[in-house]
Amino acid sequence: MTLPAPDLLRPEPLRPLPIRRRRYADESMSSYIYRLAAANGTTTTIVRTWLIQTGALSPHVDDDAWRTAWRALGDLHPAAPDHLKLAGGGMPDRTLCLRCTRGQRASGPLSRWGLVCVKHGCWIAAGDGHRADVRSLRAERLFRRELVRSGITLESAELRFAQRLVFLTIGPRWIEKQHRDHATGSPRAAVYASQVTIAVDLFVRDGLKELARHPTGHRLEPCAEWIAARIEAITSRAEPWRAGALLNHLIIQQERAQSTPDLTGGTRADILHRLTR
Amino acid sequence: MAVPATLEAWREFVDRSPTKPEMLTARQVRALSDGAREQYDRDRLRWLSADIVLETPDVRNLRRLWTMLSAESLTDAATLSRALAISGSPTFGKSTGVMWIAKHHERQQRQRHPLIPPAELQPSVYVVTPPATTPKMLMIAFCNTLGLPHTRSQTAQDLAEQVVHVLRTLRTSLVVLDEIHNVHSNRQVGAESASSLKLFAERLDAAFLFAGIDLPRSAVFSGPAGEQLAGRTMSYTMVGYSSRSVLDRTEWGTLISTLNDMLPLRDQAAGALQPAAGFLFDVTGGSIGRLRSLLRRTAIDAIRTGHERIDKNDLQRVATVTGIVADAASPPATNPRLEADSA
Repeated sequence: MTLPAPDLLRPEPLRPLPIRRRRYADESMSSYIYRLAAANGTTTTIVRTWLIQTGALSPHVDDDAWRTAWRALGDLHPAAPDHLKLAGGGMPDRTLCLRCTRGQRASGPLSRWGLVCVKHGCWIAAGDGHRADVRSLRAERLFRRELVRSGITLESAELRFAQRLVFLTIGPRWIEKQHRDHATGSPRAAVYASQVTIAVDLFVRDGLKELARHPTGHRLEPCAEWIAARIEAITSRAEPWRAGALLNHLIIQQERAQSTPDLTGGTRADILHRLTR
Repeated sequence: MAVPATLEAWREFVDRSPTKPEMLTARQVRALSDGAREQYDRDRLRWLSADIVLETPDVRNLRRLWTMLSAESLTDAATLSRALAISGSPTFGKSTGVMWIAKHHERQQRQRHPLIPPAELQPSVYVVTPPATTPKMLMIAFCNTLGLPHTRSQTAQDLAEQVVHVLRTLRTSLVVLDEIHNVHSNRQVGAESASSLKLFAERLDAAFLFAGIDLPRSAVFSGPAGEQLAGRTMSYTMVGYSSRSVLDRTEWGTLISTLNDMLPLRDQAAGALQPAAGFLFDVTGGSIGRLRSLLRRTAIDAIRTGHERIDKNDLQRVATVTGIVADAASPPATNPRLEADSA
């Protein structure tokens, strides 16, 4: 018996699905697959079963093969990335700007995005889509220009620390008012501009190291004053004693742990670790 | 070329505009390299098999009916009334006719909507009905043509939903169902198919073209479901050419002359096939499909042997060799007629 030529044994390449969908920048593969299947009136499960039943794929293939199959079904350009290289490691998916996607629900890690879509000038946090004010828009540009370039993303420890400081320093009533007046969608959006400015000051312009070189750097009280002054410069509504309270809290915590609070020396990550542990 | 049974093949078919290769003199051919000569011959053979639709009486009638049907499609009818069934014996050009209408429609629609990306617009869809069709098989045929995923566990209703969704999204306004005689509506399974075909057609805002052998007598338009379908469908029977009147014979002569001019043979003189017109009618029974097959095969032989022209003797020889004899050709039914029995 003669065996068929090797070319005959090769399975036919997958045909693209009749309805194509563009994959958005920063969109995750899982979000794209879901949208593509829905656009074709089917589900990812049905497509998977179909690929197995037609022998196009074996049920035991790895994720790479599935992704390749989906790329063929979506007729994606070979150069389109499978997944994004994130600046700050794995980030949870967030909903993409609904105006960028023309109202289609799509999600992705948005590694280079803060909380504002610069193109449309609206909030993307929690999918609210309200118009962002000029301060927040400026903060978004600052975030992308300064923080993302330094490897700091929205979910990184540095930005969380800056947010904690702002939340404590500005006070809940002012935040509530901002949230209400500007319909920002979430309290987090209300403090976004301050959060980014503080983070840039502390971690990009090395404010933290400057703080550490303070003559009385072995104590945290002057640090609290310094941070309060920075926040006051951002908003006149600041209540500096709150920053002091946070740092005093840190002092107490460290004293309880019988360690001497010391901000001198070390890398930015070390200092941050000592402040937030 | 194979039947354009997939969306990609169909789009390729629509985009293709065959052109007659430039005819070279004997000296120019001798000057070609072996490879170039081979390519030149390949181009000529491809031209012989190209899907060119000639202005036959049947095609003229189809064009008139299609104009009526597309005008009806502009109205907002709640039930299906935009269907045309094209019937006729084999080789009378039914498939060629419906494909030509669909191709023409698709090009027109694409020109009308230049801003819609080509992948997001599919004005016409061509589907071949599988033999002994069940409702699910019919929907699977649609899925296979469109490249839509489907599993064994899905019901015909699920598949119909999916197909309707996709065709609506792609703004499909013409659906061609070829070999529709494969639906046997007087059997249980076939009756369900005819019924689901009617329901499916009603859900789409598109015109339907059905093509098949002897549709007025076929099972698809008989039985309760089939009669419902027939009541909402215009029908036309392709009858090919006739030789009864002087006008018929003149029309046939014009066709032979046109086909003679289209032959990519260096030494073929104008009007060289006119003496063979009567023989060609006898041997093909007025079927355009048989006529073109015979001319194509004879011309291929002339290219391969280097004879570069064909006449009645060549046609007789090839007809005998390939088994096309006058007895085998079925006589034309009647004069071309128009049965526009709109519901």
